[in-house]
Amino acid sequence: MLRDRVPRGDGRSWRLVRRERAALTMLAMLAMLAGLAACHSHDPVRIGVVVSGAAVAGAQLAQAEINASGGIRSRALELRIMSTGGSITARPALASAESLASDPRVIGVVGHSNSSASLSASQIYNDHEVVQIAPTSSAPLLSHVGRFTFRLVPSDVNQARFLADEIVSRGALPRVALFFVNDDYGHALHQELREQLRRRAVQIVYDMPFAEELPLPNARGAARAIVESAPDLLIWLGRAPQLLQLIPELRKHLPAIPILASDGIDSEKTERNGDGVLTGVRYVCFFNISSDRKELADLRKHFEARSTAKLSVEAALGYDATMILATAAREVGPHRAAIRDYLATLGHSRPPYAGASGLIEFDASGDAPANYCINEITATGLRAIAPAHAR
Amino acid sequence: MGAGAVSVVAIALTVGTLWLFASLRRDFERELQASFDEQHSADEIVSAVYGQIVASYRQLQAPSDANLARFDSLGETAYARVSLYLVQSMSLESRLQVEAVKEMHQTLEVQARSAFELHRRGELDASHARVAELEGRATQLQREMESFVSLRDHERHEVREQQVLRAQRLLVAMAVLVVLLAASIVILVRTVRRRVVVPLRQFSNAAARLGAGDFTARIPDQRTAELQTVARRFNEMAQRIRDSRTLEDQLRQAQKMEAVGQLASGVAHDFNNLLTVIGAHAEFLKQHPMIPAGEALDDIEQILKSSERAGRLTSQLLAFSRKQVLKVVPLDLNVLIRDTEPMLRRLIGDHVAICMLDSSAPSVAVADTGQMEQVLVNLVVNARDAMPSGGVVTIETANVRLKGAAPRRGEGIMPSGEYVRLSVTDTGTGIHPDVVPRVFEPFFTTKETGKGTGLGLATTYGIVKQCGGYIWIDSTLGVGTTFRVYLPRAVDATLATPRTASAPVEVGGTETILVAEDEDAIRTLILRILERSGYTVLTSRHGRDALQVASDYFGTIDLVLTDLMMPELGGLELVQQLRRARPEIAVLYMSGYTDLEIHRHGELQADVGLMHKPFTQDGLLHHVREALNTHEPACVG
Repeated sequence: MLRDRVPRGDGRSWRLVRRERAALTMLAMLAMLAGLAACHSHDPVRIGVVVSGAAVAGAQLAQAEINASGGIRSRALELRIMSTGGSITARPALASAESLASDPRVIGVVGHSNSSASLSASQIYNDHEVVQIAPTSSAPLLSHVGRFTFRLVPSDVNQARFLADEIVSRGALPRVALFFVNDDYGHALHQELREQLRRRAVQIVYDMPFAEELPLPNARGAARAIVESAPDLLIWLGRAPQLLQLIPELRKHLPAIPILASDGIDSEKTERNGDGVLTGVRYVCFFNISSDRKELADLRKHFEARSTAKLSVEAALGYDATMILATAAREVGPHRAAIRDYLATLGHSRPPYAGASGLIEFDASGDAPANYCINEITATGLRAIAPAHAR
Repeated sequence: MGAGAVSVVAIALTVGTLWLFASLRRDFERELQASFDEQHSADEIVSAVYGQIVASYRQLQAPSDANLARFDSLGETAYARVSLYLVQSMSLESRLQVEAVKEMHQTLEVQARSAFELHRRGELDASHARVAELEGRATQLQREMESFVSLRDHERHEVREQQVLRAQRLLVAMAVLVVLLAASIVILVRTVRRRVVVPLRQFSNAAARLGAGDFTARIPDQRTAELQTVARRFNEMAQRIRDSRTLEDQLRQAQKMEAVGQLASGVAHDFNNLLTVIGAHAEFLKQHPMIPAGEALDDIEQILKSSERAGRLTSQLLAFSRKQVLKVVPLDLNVLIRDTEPMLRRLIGDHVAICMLDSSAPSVAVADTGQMEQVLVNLVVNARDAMPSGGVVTIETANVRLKGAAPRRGEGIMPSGEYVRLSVTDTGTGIHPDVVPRVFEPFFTTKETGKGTGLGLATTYGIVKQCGGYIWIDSTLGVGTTFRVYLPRAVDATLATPRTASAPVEVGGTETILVAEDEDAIRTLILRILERSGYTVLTSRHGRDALQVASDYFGTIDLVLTDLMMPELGGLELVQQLRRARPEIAVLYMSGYTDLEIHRHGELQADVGLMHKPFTQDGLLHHVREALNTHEPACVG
């Protein structure tokens, strides 16, 4: 332009002035972007928590430790705790899952406690490509829901095999009475166990479902029916409340009948065994909560220093799940896909994570390796015993 | 974008289009299959649930393990189908709905098993009441399932609509891609044609033409640097071949003309001497008092006429062979044409018109006046003969400046410089291209036998070349022919005085004349003529002999009459040496031909005369007298 060649009053050309203005504008924009980036970098990193109360306490302890040690790449860890964590059905968990997955600042979710909820919510997490770590969900179907779903416990396919081995290791093949909760957890475990028992020629003399959300309609009738079927062993594939209803009626007629339960009854309340109803009941556990392994001992110490409650399996797994997510974010940055890839390499190209619950690694399905133990509930607490088939 | 890039784009577009088609088809098939699967699953779930209800009734009526197993089996089927939805992506609403169905079914199963247990224990009323509840739950489950299927249908409908929209966009995109692909192919083909096929064809054609002898074959400019380089190299090669051929043609033509010229000049020289003797003796006979009038005198006249004609013939041969002695001077061709016009009009007759287009400025060339008259006459006569049915002869002059050498086919290269151009154009039949190269050959004629000597254009050619000029022909059959004569232009030169008829000169005298002539017959003839006219004649056989004679003679020698070409010592050297002793001596040269351009370079001084052989008795006496009187050079045409 002609104007470009005409000098200004100060002797500089218009072209030079325009270039200076453009450079200043670019500098200002860069400064704004840097400012935005700086603001963004101070935003806390979020982890969604949709688990029951004990596991929430574990997650909160993990959060406190992470933030006390500098956070995640200088950013604080924030837990977004959903109130539906203790729900035993799937429907209430779905809205929580949708909310967490849609939050771009959530880098991963610890949840859900219940297999039904974990299963149903898993598709939402996988659709949004956000990592889900289910601390206690063991339903076999969870192995197939997607590459963003992991869990800290093995599939119940393994628990069914473990239970069957434990049953037949008692010597003569026992007559077995089965009680199972008819939800995604109990239904699948019941199916697998029936198959395993059939293979081992174990006779099932009584087989009855119950609904999780309902009390046993007729505990006395149920106990009578069990007695009539004359079982050598009662297998309980469910959670504790219904078992607490059944045992008093059953003990009236079969005071010495052994009861072997699945992991579903493992809770702080079970461990406390306040009324002694559960005394003598043995159940499958994922790890020995009374172990004096250093990591677990440290956790127990810290947990019990913060809480009046004793450390439970749920709390330890909630703690481990949160710690793994935070560690991954520290290592590879708070990015969903990178965290997913990090978790997939634990125990493969990376060493297993040394958690309170043990060495944590995942197979191709996102499942933890099958390591079970057996606890016996005593009047004073739990007693770890070696599995019969391992003795 | 080069041809390679166009190819890559075309391939990419093709692959992209195929991929889009495959993707579209795969999506539709997947969605269709999913719709069928879901509907089938929904049907199976409802069917299994109702089957469980039926099994429940049977179990209550006739309990059996088989019936119970069927109840459980149907339950497994329903649960397995419901579970399939758990690992599928769907809306939250649909997911809530299927969860409701699942929970309802789970509760239904628990209630059924409870009813069986009540019935087994004999609590029939409670059992039937529980089964009735089951029917209600089954109906509710069916409604929930239908609601779920409806929801899924709605979702799928939306997905399909989106897919249709996507398909439409894809189709538009594909159409655009196809158009782009077609355009790319067209561009590719055109590019290949323009950049490869056409150049190859041009190269092939040019090579073929060159191979067939057409050395004007050239390859036009190319678009790419590589092809342009090849084309340039080819054109340079063709040009070199053409130049080489042109030079060869010129050399061959020159050698041929030179050979013919040598032959002609040799013959003409001897003929001139013979004709001089024949003519002179015929005149002697004619003047002899013993010859009676009548038949004998007529015979002598015939001898004289034939001798004159033969003399003109030898003169033309000499002109062609460029062995004439020229007197080149600054000559305004416009003046020459104007002076010659009356004679030209008489020559061409009434059926041919003459058009004069002389330049307004003087067209002064360096040429021999008489010879240029001859050139003009020859060209006009040639034009006349080319127009037997009449036409127009246009004579034109112009001053031209040539910048850079101007090559003409078959005519060599005319160097740059100032020229005067004389053009003679006819509207005749034209000259066939095959004949053009031969028109300047002596004795070549296309005229009927007896109508042309074949020396006219050859003489013209010789004169022009001897004057340092060029002559070109442009001829088109049926249109006409133009002869263009280019003569060196005289710049700042004094024009030659037009020849005027000289006043009658009285012949004979008493002066002393030294004659140097190697031909005995000529020498004797000259001695006889001059002595009969009163002169004192000293004769010598060549230049050295003449010097001796002059040295021995103590009297005044007024004129030396010498042949130019003689053994021992030529005429020029003789005069040069003679004038040292006798500077006042007048000089008259004789020549049948000469290899020297004596006048062009001023070697023939202004005060010397020149007499062409053959000469007549009167001519000799006239030239001698004139030389003695004026010491001015004279030129006889």
